[in-house]
Amino acid sequence: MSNQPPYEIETDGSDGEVRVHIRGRVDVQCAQHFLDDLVRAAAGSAGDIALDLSSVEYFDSGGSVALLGLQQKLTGSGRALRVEAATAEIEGLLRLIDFEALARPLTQGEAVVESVPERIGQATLDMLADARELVAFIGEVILGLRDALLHPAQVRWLDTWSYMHRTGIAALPIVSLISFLMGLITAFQAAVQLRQFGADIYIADLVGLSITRELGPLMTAIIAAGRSGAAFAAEIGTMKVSEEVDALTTMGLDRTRFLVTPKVLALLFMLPCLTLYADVVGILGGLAVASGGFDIPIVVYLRQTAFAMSAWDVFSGLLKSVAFALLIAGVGCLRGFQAQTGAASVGRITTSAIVAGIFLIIVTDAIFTVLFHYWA
Amino acid sequence: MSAAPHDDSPIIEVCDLVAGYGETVVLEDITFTVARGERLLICGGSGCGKTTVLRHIIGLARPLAGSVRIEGEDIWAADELTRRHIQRKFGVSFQSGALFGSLTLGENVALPIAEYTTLPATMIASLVRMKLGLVSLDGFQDFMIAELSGGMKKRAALARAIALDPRIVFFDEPSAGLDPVTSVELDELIVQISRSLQMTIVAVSHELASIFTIADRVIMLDGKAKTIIATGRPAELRDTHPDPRVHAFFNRTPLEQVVGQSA
Repeated sequence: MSNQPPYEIETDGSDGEVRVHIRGRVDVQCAQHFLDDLVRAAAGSAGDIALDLSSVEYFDSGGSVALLGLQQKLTGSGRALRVEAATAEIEGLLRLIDFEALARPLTQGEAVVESVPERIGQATLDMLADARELVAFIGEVILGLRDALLHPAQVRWLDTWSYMHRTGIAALPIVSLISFLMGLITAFQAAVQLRQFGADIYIADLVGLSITRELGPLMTAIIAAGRSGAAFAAEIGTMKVSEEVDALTTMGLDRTRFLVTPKVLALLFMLPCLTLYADVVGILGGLAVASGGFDIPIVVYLRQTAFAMSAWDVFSGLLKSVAFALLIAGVGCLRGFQAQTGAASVGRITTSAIVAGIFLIIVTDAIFTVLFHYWA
Repeated sequence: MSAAPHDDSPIIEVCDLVAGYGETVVLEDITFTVARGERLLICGGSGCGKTTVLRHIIGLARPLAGSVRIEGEDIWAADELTRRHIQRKFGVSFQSGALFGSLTLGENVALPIAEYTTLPATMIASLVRMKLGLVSLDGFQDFMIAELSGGMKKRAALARAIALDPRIVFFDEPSAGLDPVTSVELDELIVQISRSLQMTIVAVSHELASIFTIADRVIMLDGKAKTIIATGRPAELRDTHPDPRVHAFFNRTPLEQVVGQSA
């Protein structure tokens, strides 16, 4: 916008009534400028204002809003504004606008201000309600799994198969990369310490145990929460927003059987497989460091690994991954059903599915670790 | 308002447009013009490509051939930046409203004003109020889109489309999915606003009631013929057009029957 407005204002008349003549273009870009000029023109006297708009070339709602602003200012000081002359177009435009209604202040909804303790209390209650909902939903999922066991023919196997592909096989590249690097990093970190004591060979023990017991299941589960948990939430959330979930319900179909069980079954089967795969690749990562960087022969490394580990180490990791799978799929589907309306809601629940998924994985892992410690 | 009264050149010129997706030609040989201040309605049976034509005119889909000129500027020959500049001359009201669900009604209407002008917030707020007042939604500024009914969403979409006083407003199915009363009210609101604000209206619809309320002139497309099969005033097409397809459409009779009689 240039400094020179595209219109001209001229005033004449005595104190009884000021006549304001406007020429040129009044558009939305210069609305504020126009209002300021009008107010300045009106300030010259104390009488009413008569506007002459008959030589205006262009006048849009920017002009109307300026007139509205001027009218409100004048009414405040007991003066009146009237349009004395205008082109047919401007008259049509002004007739559409209900100046009286717009002059009334908007009734604002009462803004509820909550104090800090109130907000903390509300957040705690919300969290408890969410935890309760999660527990109830996991129960629903487990009942769904029981039904699947009792009536395998009712399971939607085609869907399950496709989810197995998406959650399992499609995750292989990223799981390979992450677990290989985890094995490699663990081996390096261990080697630096163990070398001081000439105990390089124990790299194999450390890598084998930490990968199979902890890192393998944990990293794989976190990857699955980011890939599959998020995908489940977004998919069901979008279906919820576009009323597809409601359509299922009104057809009398069970949302758990249709939407949840295939996803849970797929992840329950694929996550332990991925974990086992991650264990192997992680140990290979350790092997690469040991044989490449610390001159430990491959056969010696593998024999040491086999000697250090028991079947329980691998099995406990797989056991954890089953629990993780249930939680990731469960919280993903639950968040999906919690979607409200609109695109933003789907974004929120997807984020929440990942965050809640990772949180639950870590908490569950801690519980398992303590349990196994006292059990073994 | 925007049109200089002495300017008789058409505001939209569509010339030899071939519309389609990929290799598939949906419509071809589409040529028509729209005069300033005119209300043109593009109609035709379901699936005839009405919405496709609209998407080509408003710059959402590139035509396979032909040109679309808006105030003399070819929207598809222009580069991205010029195209956006041309697009600012018109507002579009989408079939399902396409209001942003993460914003309130007021914020939806304020968005284009805040983006394209340098007005202060108070001025924008009263402009938004004025626009919402035009469609009888003043007072609903703080409502989220999800809280509005179908008719309110359509009116809100209209308010957002006219937020910047565009010279042209495009409507995709303005009254689809509304009850007859709300539907006719919206149609009349469109006519009233376009008359008062001198806006050119191009609407796509297959609802006869809307066609007769809104249109000065109608273009009828046919999916099988893949082109325009009739042009004229709605009453003319209904009463005197010789083509059985046009007759069937405007008189709500099954096509077989009409063809049977004429054969």
